Amino acid sequence: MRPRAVTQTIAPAPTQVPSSRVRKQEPSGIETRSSDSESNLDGDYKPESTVNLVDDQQMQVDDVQLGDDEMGRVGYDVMGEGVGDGDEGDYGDGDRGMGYDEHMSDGASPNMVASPLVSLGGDHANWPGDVGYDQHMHYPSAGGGAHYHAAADEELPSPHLQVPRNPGFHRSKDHHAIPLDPDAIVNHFDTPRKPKRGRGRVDSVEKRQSKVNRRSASHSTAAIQSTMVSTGAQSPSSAIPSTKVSTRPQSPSHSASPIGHDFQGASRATGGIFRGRALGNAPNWADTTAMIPHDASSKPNGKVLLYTSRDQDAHPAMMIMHETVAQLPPILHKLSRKFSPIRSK
Amino acid sequence: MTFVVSISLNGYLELDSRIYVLEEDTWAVKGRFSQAIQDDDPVHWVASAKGKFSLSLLAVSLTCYHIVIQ
Repeated sequence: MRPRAVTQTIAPAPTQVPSSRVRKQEPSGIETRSSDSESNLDGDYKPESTVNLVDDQQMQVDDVQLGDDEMGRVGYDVMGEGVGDGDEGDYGDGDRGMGYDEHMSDGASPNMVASPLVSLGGDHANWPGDVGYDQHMHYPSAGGGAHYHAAADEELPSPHLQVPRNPGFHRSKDHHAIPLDPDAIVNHFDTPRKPKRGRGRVDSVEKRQSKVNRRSASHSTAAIQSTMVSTGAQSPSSAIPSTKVSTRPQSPSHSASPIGHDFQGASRATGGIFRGRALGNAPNWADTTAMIPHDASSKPNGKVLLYTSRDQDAHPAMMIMHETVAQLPPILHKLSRKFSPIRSK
Repeated sequence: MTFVVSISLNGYLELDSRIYVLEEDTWAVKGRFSQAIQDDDPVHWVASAKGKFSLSLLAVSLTCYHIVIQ
């Protein structure tokens, strides 16, 4: 018998617990006894390896010490590849073992009755003992509240229900968001935090929860949606908010400037080149010839009133606007151009 | 038929009228027009409370002639 790298799995009844019994083929032919690593959700699981594939197909491996040849017969792979993939002669003396291994190869065997517990050819193999089913396994008999994690390389130390060590909520919809440990929520909210400036620290859980709910109700719907996502399959009436996803809504008026300065369109205060200003807005010495400099000698305009009479109540005969120059000749020149020599009434 | 034509010769600055400048509520003479336009006499602008500048000149030259044509 040539060696082959096949994962041979003997699994117990899937209706009870996920059990991973992995046996590797011993090339020396030494008789090995399979070891069970199993966990019982209900706590009354008996370590007998009974696999109920379908109604009329049952594999009984109770207290059976599998030999070298038998190892090949009991091996199968529900992932649609492996043992019986057109190489049925490898299983020994024509003994097809349990009678189903050759039909497990392609996942389209007519002898396999469709079972909700066995998924053929899919990524989500529900066969107990299969490696990596912990993320997708669904056992109706688990009561819906069980969150367990079982891997082929990890033995479950206790037959009891495995409570996640992290008391927080999970994002996966397959997992329930409420931790089973009732003290987890209290411990979470009672964790000392850095006190916020400007207001006192809320010590009680009730006050903090009510505050979170008030935030969700008063602000935008984004906070509500984030809460709903975090709670996963929880009902909307669940009053326990998320602890991983922030429920604080994003304020549109939030300024990116930490110090409150106006960056004039720039996203940063340091390291930029133009600092948010358009090129050419700043004065440049090379452009001074094209610029009209502010004439420092320019003076404001003033009124020049031309009287023709010395009387106190006399009105000015003419008025012009002229710069407030210090000399009289420019003013007289302008008056001589403006003043009409002949006026008629 | 009577035609009244009023001709004011005060506007003839070129007729070498006398130019006065109001300085501190008094008319300061600057001489005749031909002379004043060549000199660089300083003038003092009066600033009002609103920041407006003004300069008052007086031109006295010829007598007004009112010619009445009847």
